[in-house]
Amino acid sequence: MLGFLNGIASANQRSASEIPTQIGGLQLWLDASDQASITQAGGAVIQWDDKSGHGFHATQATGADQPLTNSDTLNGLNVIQYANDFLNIPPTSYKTLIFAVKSLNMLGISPIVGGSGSFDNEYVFVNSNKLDADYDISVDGSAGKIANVYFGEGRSGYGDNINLGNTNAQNESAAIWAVDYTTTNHADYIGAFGQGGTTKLSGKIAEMMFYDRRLSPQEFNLIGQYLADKWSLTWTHI
Amino acid sequence: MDTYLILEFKSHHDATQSLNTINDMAASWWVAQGYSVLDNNGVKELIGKNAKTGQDQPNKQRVISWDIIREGENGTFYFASLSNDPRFPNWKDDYGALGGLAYVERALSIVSQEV
Repeated sequence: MLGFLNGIASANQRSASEIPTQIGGLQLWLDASDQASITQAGGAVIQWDDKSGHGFHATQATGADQPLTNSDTLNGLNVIQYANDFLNIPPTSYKTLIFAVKSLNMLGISPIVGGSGSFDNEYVFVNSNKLDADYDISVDGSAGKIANVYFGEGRSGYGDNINLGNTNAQNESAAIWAVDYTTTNHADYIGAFGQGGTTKLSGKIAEMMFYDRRLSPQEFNLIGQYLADKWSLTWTHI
Repeated sequence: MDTYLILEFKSHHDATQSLNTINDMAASWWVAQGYSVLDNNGVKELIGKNAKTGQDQPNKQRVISWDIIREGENGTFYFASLSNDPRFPNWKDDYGALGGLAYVERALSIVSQEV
């Protein structure tokens, strides 16, 4: 236990930009602020490089489905803007998903990640309703797969369709979300779910990480605080 | 409910021919913008540039088509209209000059399905 805590402490002393890779099990890491990781044409994203070292790059070979880069910022940093767009990733397994967004579709479903084929029922999406300013997060159709969902402003819940209540986010949905699975989940898309990416994202993604294991509260807090500091968002420690 | 514009055709053949015209048109447009386009057995592949350095990225993903053809509920075939993309404001003029097939441009609702 002491060794683990020492590991956390030494991670704190390292460059903040290295924190995602210092926590074991990182599978995929997309960072919109790192312009060198983005291949574009006329501002449309063709490839968003995975910074985990695994080479699970997010790509889109079809022009009409490409999100935009350098069209908006959060805390002065670039975000990727989806307008009914999505990116493909190699099949990626994960137990933890953490992501920072600037805004999401205010009148419906915002798919963050999703699977295709035999995994097309595995997804994470945020469902917003402008009328009551609720933000729900729906995670997979299988009961019992979710241990916890954390919303950066301090709310949390568990289940497969979680109503986090009024987040006061109807005008500005910039936030950090974290999903903690009890079992392994699968993803083929960033910004879509369903075979062929049938439901696509309208929203802006700042940064996201997939881990192949469940993280400890300390590890969630390290990454949550890293994202909060970087993107000027709120992370309430677990 | 969000909508986006599509180009609709009566047959898959017509949709394919029109999409090929658009891909040829886009290739010329990208070259004029300073991008590299390679011909890979008849498929024009757009090479992207690194967002930080502006350097060509031939070893990264390439753009191989404007869109894919989908079948509509009424037996028609469609793909996304370039009118959705502000990068191509004058595409209809260029498409007409290339003798592109007639199309129906209409709005398609994006259904946010509950799961």
